[in-house]
Amino acid sequence: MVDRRAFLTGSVFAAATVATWPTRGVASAPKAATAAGSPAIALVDRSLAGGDRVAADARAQGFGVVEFSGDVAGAWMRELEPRLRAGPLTIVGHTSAATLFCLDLLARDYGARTVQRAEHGAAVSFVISQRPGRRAALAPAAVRAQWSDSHA
Amino acid sequence: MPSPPPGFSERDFQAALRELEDIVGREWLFASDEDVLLYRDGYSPLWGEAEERKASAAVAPNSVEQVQGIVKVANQYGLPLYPISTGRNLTYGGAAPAYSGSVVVDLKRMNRILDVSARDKTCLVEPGVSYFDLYRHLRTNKIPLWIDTADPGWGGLVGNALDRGGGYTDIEFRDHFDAHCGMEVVLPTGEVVRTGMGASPHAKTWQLFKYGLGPWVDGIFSQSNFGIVTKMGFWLMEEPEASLQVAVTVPKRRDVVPLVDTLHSLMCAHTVPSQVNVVSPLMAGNNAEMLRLRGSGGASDEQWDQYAATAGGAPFWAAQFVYYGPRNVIAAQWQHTKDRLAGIAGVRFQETASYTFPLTDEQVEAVADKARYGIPSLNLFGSRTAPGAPPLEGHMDFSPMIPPHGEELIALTDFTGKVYADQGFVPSFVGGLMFHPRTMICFHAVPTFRTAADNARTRKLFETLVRGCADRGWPIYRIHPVFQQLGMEMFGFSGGALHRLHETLKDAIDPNGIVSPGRYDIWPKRLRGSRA
Repeated sequence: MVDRRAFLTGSVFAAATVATWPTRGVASAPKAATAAGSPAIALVDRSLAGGDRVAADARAQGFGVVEFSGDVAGAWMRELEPRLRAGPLTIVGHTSAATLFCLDLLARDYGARTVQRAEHGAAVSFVISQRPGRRAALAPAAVRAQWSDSHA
Repeated sequence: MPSPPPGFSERDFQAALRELEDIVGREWLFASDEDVLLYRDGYSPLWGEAEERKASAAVAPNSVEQVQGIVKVANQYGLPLYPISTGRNLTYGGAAPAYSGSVVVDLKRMNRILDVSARDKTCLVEPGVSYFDLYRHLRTNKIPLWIDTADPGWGGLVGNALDRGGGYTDIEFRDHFDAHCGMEVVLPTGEVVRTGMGASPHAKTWQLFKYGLGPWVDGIFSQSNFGIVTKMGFWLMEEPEASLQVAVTVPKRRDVVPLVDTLHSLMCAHTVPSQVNVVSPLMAGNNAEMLRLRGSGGASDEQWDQYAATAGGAPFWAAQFVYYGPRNVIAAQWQHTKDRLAGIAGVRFQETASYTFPLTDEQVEAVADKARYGIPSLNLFGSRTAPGAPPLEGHMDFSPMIPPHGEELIALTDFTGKVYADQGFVPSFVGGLMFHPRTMICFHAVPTFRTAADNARTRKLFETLVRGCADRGWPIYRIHPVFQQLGMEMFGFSGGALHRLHETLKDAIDPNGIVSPGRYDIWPKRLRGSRA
């Protein structure tokens, strides 16, 4: 599980952070996230300038990549929500700020939240992660179990 | 920890929470600061102020029996509850309660699609079912039915219908409360009632015939606090063979009168089936002269048409709508529409999108105006601000309702433009949206902020709009909880007889006043006069 502390201290993302993704590559984020027990996927809005390159970078680094163009609703219904429901999941994203606003709010119901974000002109890169300590109505069993363990 | 409800000792509050926990399980009672933050109204016009409406806790049941158990505990302690389905209607208060200290009853776990009948074109859903959920269910199972979605499409069918939200497809479906057929409600006493034919235990027509026998009571559960709706049936639209989306533009300001009259007539004749938007492309944007004219509140037709002549050919008004059905029928409807509107000098007709159904996944992704085809979308958020513009903190919807008359749309636009300008705000973009067959709703965005001083300005603006529009015959159809008392004041015929009736019903149905105190200004006897 990628939590804020692990993210910020670099104990999970050993090399470059996702905040530098568009300019320096995705680095070891997917491997590190998987090693931490949380599958990670990359979400890329290909309508943004450089979106195709970012998606290619993510793919080269081993991410499963979910692409969409402008409206994230379809990707949410088909890919993101089912995985968050089954959780845990880390979403590493490169989208518009408006899309992040929506995803952050939607993901909260699944015990997830934005743990990192950085602006890149019209785009924003971010990490949304389910983590122990955040309870919510639709949080999956694995996430709830971690909450229970840490609060027993 | 969040504060307990007013008048509650910490000890009693904790005792009540423990009983709620016993009902739903430890994992589904949320009482820490971090968890309860999920239910804060991020767009609150009282953000950070003592009067901001905040929950004290939340509880997430997954069955009718658990809802009944929660209601029983609430009655025992006098605990105020605030049920939500998905709580995502941000511009009307989101998930935050009308009465601070209420325990949010978060119904998202009750998200079962109980029945979909392709033959009868109906569904029965629990309150946590979102537009996303039902759309995905129909699509995955290749059921040739459409939902009618709100826009943005992240909300839920039950919550949106109970708040009388609207959509975009055929009239039979886009008035979301009118499109429901039968409901199940846990009353504040804990008793479960089913309305319409659902009250007859063996009826095969619960989702087919609305009224049942005796008084039809469904309406009292909308925009109210008389119970917790745990099931609701809806009529769904049969997927059409094809569609044609069109735009009609007219060049002059006063052209909106025959434009709206004609489109309204065509809607009433069922020639134009979809929701009709009438907007002014010319009055959008931030041109200084345009803003000056809008802020003046009384610019003449000649002044506006003079401005229009300098605006690079943008039409003054544009109407957009969609035909659904067999292609040959659509062609005839469109031709008839053009014939009826041809008398407006300078009118232009444009076909903007044409589809044959069903769409592939790739085609769905490419649809520009998804809500008009029953496809839930989040596109609206991308259009909140121009590229590069600083984002709004948030906004409330101010939603006056006018007759479908162009003169009224002009008068409303004049009035609200001046109110915004006089109070130092940029006038909101305004359009007349015919969600309902015989009215236009004219949505205005009223910005909200994270500072008390700015929000004091915005509250003053909102109140001026509400009062001023009601005085002119344009009361609102729906309103943010912070302003529900003000809203109901505008419905004060006969010394507030309607409001007194609401509270008479409240006393009879909810004697302990536990469900959503204050919602739409309906207060239980024990809290009457205390307000929020």
